[in-house]
Amino acid sequence: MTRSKGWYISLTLVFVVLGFLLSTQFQTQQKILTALDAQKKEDLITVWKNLDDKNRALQQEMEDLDAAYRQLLAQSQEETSAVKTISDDINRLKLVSGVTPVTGPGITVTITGDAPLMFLDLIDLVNELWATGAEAISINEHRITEHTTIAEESDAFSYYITINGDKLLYPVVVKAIGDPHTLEKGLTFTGGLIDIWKTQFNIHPEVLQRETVNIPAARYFPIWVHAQIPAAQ
Amino acid sequence: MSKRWPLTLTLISIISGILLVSIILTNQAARSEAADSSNADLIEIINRLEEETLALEEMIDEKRDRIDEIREQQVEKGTLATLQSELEWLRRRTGLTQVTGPGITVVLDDNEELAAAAKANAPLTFDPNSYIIHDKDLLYLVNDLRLGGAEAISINNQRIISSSDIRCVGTVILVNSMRLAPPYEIRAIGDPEKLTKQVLNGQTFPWLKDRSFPVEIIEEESIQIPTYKGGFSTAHLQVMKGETEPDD
Repeated sequence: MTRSKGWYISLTLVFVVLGFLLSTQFQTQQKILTALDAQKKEDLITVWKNLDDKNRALQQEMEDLDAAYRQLLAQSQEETSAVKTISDDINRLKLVSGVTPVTGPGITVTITGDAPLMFLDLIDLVNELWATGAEAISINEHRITEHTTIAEESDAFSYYITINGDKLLYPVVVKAIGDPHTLEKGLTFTGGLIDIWKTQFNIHPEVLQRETVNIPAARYFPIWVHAQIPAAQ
Repeated sequence: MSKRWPLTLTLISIISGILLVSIILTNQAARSEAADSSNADLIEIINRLEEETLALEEMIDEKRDRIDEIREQQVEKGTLATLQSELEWLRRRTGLTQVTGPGITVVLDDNEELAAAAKANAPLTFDPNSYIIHDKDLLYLVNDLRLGGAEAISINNQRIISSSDIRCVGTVILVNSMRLAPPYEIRAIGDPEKLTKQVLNGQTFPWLKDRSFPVEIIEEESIQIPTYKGGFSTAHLQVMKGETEPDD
């Protein structure tokens, strides 16, 4: 019995070793089979070709992406500069179009109710101020725009001047922004508008240079009914 | 019992044998392929290609991320379209677009015929100023046209904007500081009937008509008024802060 017991142990050991060897061999064989070294030449060539194709496709993809990226980048820089240019234009046109209140140095011309002022005199004054370099003008808080109208009307009691259809009240204060000295001289020189007003019409306005003149925005902009922008501009 | 032992041993030997043979065969196969030098080259190429492919894939991934980033930024910049439409509106308001539409043309010309006759008849009292169109004639006519609802005005193709000045230097009329010569063609876009009515009852036209100047009003279905070509001086202008802008 002791002898046959020894056999059992030996046999078990042999089987364990054998099993170990088997599994090791199986693993090794798997490794070797998937390793490139173990491949046949034709298979290697196939792998190479596949890889090469994939590589080429990726390179193409990369080139396409690169081109798209560069284009987007240029476009985005263009947009940034376009936004800046447009913003500059908008800010400049806002100042002159009358859509925003403006401030700056300039002059005020004040005409009191006792002066025999005619509506044509006001048209002359506005025209003279533009000619002298005014950058913005208002008459009694009416901003002068392309559409400002100055007219005369009368009711049962009196004759009066209207601006944009509103009755003009005295004192009439005309404000202009621009170089104060130039604006004043442009009105008051001998033979100039104010000189003629004083000597011929007995209108004696007060012209004052101002460090700051505030001019309001236009109250409304007429909507175009008849005018159109031609399509091919 | 003892009869089974040989059988077991035989089995073990057979399995061991198969195992050994299989090991030897595998090793031989591997060695014989590896020994081929062109295979070694191929393997090197494949290894390199694999590395390159991995690197490329990484770069592509990164590039795609960057493109996405720019695209997202562009969405935020939808403001560009808004700004463009605001600019378009302002350009319209400031005479910076060509305009077309129905309206009238007023033609004013110097009274050369009467001037010649007067000069011949009474050379001593002849005043040439009585027979020419003056800056004020044009200035007041523009106001008349505005009263008639003119949406755009031009004089001899000079667009009249808010700051256009009309004046004379000697006998030359300047509009937007450009010299103009008679006949003066004043165009206005708007309701032709309303415009005509206002001009007929205005400051300039009846006065000239009464003095036999060659003047006329032509109602037109479609006229063109050019864009303002001058500049805007804004050296002293600043937007006044703290006030809301008016609605249009």
